[in-house]
Amino acid sequence: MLETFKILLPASVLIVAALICFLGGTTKISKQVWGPFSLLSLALASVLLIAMPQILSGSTPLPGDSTAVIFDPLARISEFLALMVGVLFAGMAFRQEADDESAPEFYGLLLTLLSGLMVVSVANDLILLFLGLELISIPTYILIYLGKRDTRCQEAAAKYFLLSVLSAAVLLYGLSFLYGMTGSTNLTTIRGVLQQTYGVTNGTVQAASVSKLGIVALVLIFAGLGFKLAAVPFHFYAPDVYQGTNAWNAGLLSVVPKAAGLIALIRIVSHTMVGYEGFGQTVALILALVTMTAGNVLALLQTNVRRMLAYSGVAHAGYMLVGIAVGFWDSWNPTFRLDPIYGLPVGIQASLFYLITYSLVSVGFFAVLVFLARPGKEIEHIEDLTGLWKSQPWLAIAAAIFLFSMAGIPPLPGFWGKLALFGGALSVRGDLSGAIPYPNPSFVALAIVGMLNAAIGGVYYLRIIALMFLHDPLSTPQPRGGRPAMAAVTLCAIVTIVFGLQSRPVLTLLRDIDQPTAIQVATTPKSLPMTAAK
Amino acid sequence: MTSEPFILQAMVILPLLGAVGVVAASQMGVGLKFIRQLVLMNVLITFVLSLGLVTGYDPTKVNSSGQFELYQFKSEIMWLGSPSNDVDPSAPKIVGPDIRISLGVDGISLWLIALTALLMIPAVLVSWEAIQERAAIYYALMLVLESGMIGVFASLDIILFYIFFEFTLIPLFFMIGLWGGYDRRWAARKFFIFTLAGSLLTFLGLIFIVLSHSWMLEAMTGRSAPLVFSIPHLIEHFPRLLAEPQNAAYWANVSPWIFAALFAGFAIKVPLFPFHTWLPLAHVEAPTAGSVLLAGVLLKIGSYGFLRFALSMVPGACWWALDFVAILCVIGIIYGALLALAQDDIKKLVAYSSVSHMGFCMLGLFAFNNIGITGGMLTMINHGLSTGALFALVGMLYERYHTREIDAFGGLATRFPMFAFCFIVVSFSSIGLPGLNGFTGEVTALLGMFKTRPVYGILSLSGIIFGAWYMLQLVRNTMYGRVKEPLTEGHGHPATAAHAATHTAPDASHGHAAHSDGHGSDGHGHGHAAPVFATHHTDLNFRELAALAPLLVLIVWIGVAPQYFISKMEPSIAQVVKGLEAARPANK
Repeated sequence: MLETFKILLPASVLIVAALICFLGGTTKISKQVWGPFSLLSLALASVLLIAMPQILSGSTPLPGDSTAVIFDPLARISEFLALMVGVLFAGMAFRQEADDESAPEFYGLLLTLLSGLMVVSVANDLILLFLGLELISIPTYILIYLGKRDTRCQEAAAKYFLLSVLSAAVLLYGLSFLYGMTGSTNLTTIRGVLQQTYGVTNGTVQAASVSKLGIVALVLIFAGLGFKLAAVPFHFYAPDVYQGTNAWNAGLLSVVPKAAGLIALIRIVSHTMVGYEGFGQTVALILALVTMTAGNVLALLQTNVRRMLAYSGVAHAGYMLVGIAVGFWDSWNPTFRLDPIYGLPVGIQASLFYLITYSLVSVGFFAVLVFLARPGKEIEHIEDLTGLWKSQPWLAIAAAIFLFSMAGIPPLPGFWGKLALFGGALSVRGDLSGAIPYPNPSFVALAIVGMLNAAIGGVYYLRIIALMFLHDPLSTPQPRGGRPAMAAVTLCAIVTIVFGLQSRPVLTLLRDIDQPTAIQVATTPKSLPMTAAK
Repeated sequence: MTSEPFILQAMVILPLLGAVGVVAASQMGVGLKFIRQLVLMNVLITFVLSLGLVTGYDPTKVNSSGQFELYQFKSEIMWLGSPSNDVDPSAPKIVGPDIRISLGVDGISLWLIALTALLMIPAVLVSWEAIQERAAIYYALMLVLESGMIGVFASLDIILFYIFFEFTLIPLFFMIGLWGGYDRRWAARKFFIFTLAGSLLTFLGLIFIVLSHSWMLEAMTGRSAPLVFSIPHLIEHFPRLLAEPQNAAYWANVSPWIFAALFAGFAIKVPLFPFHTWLPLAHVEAPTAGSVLLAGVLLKIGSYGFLRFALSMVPGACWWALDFVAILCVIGIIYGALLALAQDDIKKLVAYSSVSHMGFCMLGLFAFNNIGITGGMLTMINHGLSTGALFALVGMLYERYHTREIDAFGGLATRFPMFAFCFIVVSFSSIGLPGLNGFTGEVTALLGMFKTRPVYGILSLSGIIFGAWYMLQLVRNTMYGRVKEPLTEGHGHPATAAHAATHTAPDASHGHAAHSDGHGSDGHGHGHAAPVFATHHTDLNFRELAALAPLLVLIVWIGVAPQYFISKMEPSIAQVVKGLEAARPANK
């Protein structure tokens, strides 16, 4: 039991800090302290996370079957992501919320939400995982409402609340099927049971045909998590909510739920549902195709900058699903493990890699919007950015770096992400019987559609860049974001460039992700066949 | 005759450093004069380095195993990653991007790199007076572009090639969009998006070449094979792999798809008909230096891509696509020439003539024999020289009169004898007058095509006739006849007066309107030009002559004695032809 608490330590720090925020908000303590306080708690959580291997080293690992949490490479990198994103967003809010009445609540909610993402990262149990997802959703409802209090915002909050609750119900329903099939909520146990029943022995030979219940479960889980990812057709809330709320909230929405959705998807489906790879691959493939195409095409038509970014976020979710689909194929055919492309990962790792690159530039670009916003006057129309280069040269350059990265222009991180995703899709083999495997037509189609989509994406990203650089300003912006937002922009821009030139540290973290951890392998021989194939 | 790899590395890095230096200098408040000199110095040093490359490249160099060492000045640096062993499949795969900064030149890229370094000189010199606003950033972008262009040709690694390939778009996008003509914003976006859309598909094709290589190697050796991105390695090893019948069957099935993917990007870049619509817009709207580099170098990236990847790596599919591409070339040659004939703007005329000339170049490459590809290569260089020079000349004319309308000019030969001389020589080069470079290139390209498919050769001959027609018409109308000059006063060009003032006397205030009095009404401004017109309506000055002189020298040199150029590219072309001959289907 002790391990569980140890692993949950960083998340617990944030929860405790959030509670202090909520309680302290009722006292007469200055509203100014909560920003630094939350940054401090994030720093403490980061220290604990970095020291986690040392913290865990003394204790004897429990059998994977009975642990509700797990600290594997996936958990580690996701928690790091959560903390980094948290630091950036907490910093960005400094100026905005410093003199606001609701500052303590605001920071408390942010910390709660981040702890939710951290719980999702480490959860090895369906119930805990669901709890983590809800810990993200519930503060978000309030944050959207706190952001700005007009009818648009109320509509956005209500819309997000209703759809989110619906998706949670769908997800829970799916999870209940999974429980019904296997009799456990523990992911390791579920995986073990499924492995014994439907385990792939070699190639595509399956021990038994899969149960229909699992298919229902898989579809419902995809639907429930598709909402978090903003995958088509579960994306309808995104544009309205992004537009209705402020830039800070929209930025948070564009990163945290997506990350949670992707991590949960990898945990529940990719890593657990043995035997359903073939079906999952088809679902992910279709979702990816539809999501990226619809997202990009709809983004083309937008004139509101947050609405456009919402659709662009939909499109990026589509790219991430490409990696999920490839990952299914990869674990379906362990004998034909895909090679890393130039050291870049393929499959699930590529998805996570893309998630990190996307989060980085998305946070960066929203930080630009936060910096430019004034109280009650957000950057609404993309033409509000016109001529930014003349008034704020560095900001415009940073924004261009983020947008070029989203468009996938080398050597920025977005390019490496796309190389990993679509290179992986191309490496998927079709006909396995012949001496030389032909490429898999559906994945080749996916790669081609993906590349055409990247070109469509280029059109609307370039439109913003053209407005910023090639036109004269319509009015002089009076940015109110202040130094913290500027610092966030600068930090993201520098990291984007460095990451583009050298992504090695991230790749080292990603390396072991789709292999079950040492703790599990040592204690649960059931999961061995998958690892033995490596 | 040394083959120091640092020359090539320096050529890529130096312009980048220059760009950083220029921006830093301008931030420190250094004046434009110094910045321009700094840029010129940088460009000249790069050019001198390229001379070292040209003289140092030894086409007859033989390696230890008795084969031609085609790639010289080679260097390979891991991109801050650790090496994973490509060639030895048993070596462990190392996680981390080991993208190689792998540079080198062969007889093909050698000349394109030299052309890039050369054309940068006129590009800087024609911008000298024309660019006053935010000049430091302009020059920085230009230097970044130079680095990108040299990098494209010097890359021996597929990913590195692609990085440079796409990266060239960014500086050019801003150059066109910020310093271009009236419709610059749309031109910049159209250029960017057309190129991006095509190149993304090309990228899939390139990745697929790498994957297929690995799969075929795996099938042959029975062991898991790594992914190899080295261009020379792939070119060298494909024939060996294809000796295996099952590999050959596989390759025959997939290579047309790869060709199609490569075609998507490179055909837009060249551009082949009907993908050329971005070109006239971008060329016309770009600032003069942008047009010079766009026409002179960036179009060559497309034809270079065909030569380096399509012809060298998927030769079988090239045979399959021969007729398709050749027909597009012929249409492009004739259609481009006809469109050029119909233009009333000199710059547009030159832009459309590029479509026509690049058709010849591609026709030469797709002749698939030594003489044709040599012709195609020469045409690439020639087109870079003559079209670059033409764009520079048009820019000079525009600087003087702020119009490019053909009808506005006449009898310039008597007004500007030096200008007219240069213009006529370059026009003749573009037409293909024997003794000048255009002739050698296009005739060898066509000779090659006559060997492979006479019908396309015959059809495209009409393009030469049309070419002579529109160029001679242009020369006759603008250079000869009654002297005719555009009016510079009250001409609906509100910007003209202010611009002219800045050109003639950079220190003068913008409200300088005195210069337009009584000028141009009779078309004879010669005698009574006030001192302020000194550079405005006079013949080419020393700077402009210096910009054109190297191009003119080469135009004559390649026209009279192309052998020096051909000898260096011969072995590299022979290697491509060898691959093409081996892949030649029985019925073609």
